[in-house]
Amino acid sequence: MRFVLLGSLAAAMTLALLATTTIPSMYQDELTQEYSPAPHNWAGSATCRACHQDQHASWYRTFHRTMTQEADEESVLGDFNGETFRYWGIGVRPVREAGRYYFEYLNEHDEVSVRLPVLRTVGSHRYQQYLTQTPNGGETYFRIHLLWHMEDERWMHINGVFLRPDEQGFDDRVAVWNHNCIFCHNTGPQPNVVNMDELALRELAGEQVNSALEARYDSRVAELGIACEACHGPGAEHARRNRNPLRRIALHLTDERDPTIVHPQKVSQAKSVAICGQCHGQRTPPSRAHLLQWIDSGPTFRAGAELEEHVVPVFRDTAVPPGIDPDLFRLRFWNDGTARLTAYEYQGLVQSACYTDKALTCISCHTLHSGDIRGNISNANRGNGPCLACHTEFADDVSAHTMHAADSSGSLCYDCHMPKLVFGVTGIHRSHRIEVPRPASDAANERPSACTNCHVDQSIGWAVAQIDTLWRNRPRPAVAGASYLLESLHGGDPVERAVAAHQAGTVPDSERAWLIPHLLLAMQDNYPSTRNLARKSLLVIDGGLQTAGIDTGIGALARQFDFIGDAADRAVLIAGMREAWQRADKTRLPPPPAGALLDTHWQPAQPATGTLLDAGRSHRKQIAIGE
Amino acid sequence: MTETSPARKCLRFGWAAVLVFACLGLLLESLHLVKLPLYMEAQIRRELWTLAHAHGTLLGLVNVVFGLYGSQLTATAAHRASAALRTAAVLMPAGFFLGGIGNPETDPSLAIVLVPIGALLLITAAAIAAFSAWQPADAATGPDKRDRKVLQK
Repeated sequence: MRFVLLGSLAAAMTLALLATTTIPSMYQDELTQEYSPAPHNWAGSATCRACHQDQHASWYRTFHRTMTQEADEESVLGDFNGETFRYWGIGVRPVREAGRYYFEYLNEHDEVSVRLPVLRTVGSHRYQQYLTQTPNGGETYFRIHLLWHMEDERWMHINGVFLRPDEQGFDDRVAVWNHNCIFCHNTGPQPNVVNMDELALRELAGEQVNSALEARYDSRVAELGIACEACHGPGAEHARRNRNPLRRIALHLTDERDPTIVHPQKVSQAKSVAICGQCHGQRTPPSRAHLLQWIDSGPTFRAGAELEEHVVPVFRDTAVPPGIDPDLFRLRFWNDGTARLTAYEYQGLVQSACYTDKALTCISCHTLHSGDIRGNISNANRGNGPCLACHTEFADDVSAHTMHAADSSGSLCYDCHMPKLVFGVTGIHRSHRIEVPRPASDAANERPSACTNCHVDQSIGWAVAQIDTLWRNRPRPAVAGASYLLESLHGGDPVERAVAAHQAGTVPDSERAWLIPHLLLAMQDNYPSTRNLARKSLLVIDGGLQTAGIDTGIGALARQFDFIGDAADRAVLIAGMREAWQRADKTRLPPPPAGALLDTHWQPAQPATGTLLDAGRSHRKQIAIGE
Repeated sequence: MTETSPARKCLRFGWAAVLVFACLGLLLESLHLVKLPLYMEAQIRRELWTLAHAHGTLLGLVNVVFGLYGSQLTATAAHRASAALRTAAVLMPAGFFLGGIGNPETDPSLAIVLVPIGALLLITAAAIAAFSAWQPADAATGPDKRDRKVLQK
């Protein structure tokens, strides 16, 4: 046996030696050659899975995969129980029949006027929208008016997720999937407008053409949802070439990167962030020719390219195409150019010193391949890890820098340097512009500020004094004043009001009871989204009171409050809640802070509150965007 | 010193292999128990180590069977088949196990080359045993080339 074993080992070593010496040189030319993928040479995630099981499995869990799905029992999350929901006087009934899902639209006699099948779903994290086709609509998919909100477990009209004032109509947000959603919610989108020439001719003849609704589509996608190739580039050629085991051995034995596929960690910083930025960075086509190409054969950007070679990322001062509201882009940013809507994370990142002066990319914090799928952040990156990787000087004693207790949220880097001031998908999210808190500048720019986002009872003057005293070695006396959060909640523009409404209720703390009367005012805002955020904050604070054994009776009424429902119903509930607040035993509540803007009866102090509300209503340009 | 018969060698080796690879199986179960990322998050490694465990145990049992019935073959065939079988039982699980160490994302490491070599030896052992088993019954018990050499000495 000894001879057989030694002989076998010798044979194995000879084979291994041969492999390591000869195989890499066989493929050296191919692996170092520049490779440009054919734009639609897609393989599909099932092909990727054959070799990359772990990566496939980790991606499969994500909300990216389920961004768009064919409607079936597994994908549909809404409660199709036949209950009727009425918005702007029109009744809609989600029903399920024989394993299929439908929306029944009712006429004024509550009879079914049209019944639309649910064919596809869009979204699976916060809320799910539904797509249908009309009998004569061909391949055109329309977005249905109701969506299912997962967190709130309720149906709501699509208008409820936008930041728009009450003056809206039932059909305002009807959208054509082939013209809109297809681009960022799928892999390898190709809208394929089949009557483009006809539309162009009509437009040339001076006719008004609604290209979204009048186009006829033969749309295709490489894969529904955001799959492997959205981030790694079209992979059919990669799969074909790597069926050859010798090529794979060559790749393993050399430091060469496989040119047929993109690895976000192995490309330049700009190319890496471009991969996420292709969707998480609002953009416009560089020219009309590009636009026409997009709506025909889809966007030209592929992973591995520089984003700005294919698109114009939208910033505050980006020129708006002629004929469109010149403030369209400006209103999507705070006055200092920081994005205030989601899907501008790319812009925020490239505006940050961590990007321009350091090597930060999206994948420094995020990954689709491990950790918590909410936010796609690995467990290791949940805390201060990604920041301390570069800012090592703070690692030993974080609180010496943060001036907050080491185990408090004030010692989490992102709570101060990436404050929550971005509206989107019915919530408020972190800014991706990593910045140093500057309260004075924030107030001047009429935007939320990191300090007062948490210290909700404090004025901006207090925040300025704290920054100077604690971080700039210029001690200043504390400045009393009205809570900056309240100034924003009542007197800010719609996005300021929405952010303040959310920040009011970030902790279930009975100490925040003084915010309740102000939140009741915010629940009468003329922006449904702000009403929704105010209601949620009120419920959080009410939870804190309940924990402390104090029941004001407001929580039960707030739970019935439909922020986008009938105005009369809302008014009744608001009146009930105000009455409950009046009746509540205030002696059991923690005393209100100095900047609480409350009178002796715990009601919003006048005229200060009234002045702020007038300021809020007077904002000339009302933002009307932002799903 | 008495020369140990090929069948006896296989019997000894077989039970030892069953012991070793049963322990490896227990170790793999433990890795599942503690959800060790090194093992749990690498599908190909998990597959290869499972194959190492399975092949090692199975080939151990094949050796045990050979140990019980190998003496019915001709001495030369028993000697050769036993050596090939035991070597295969080392190389194949070792190839699978080492293939799961230092491997790239999609493939085993180069140590996997031990597996086909082991497989060839296994097939060789089976062929020798099969050929010998098909010989007339007296050929198995009568002196063959190897036995004659021993007798001549």
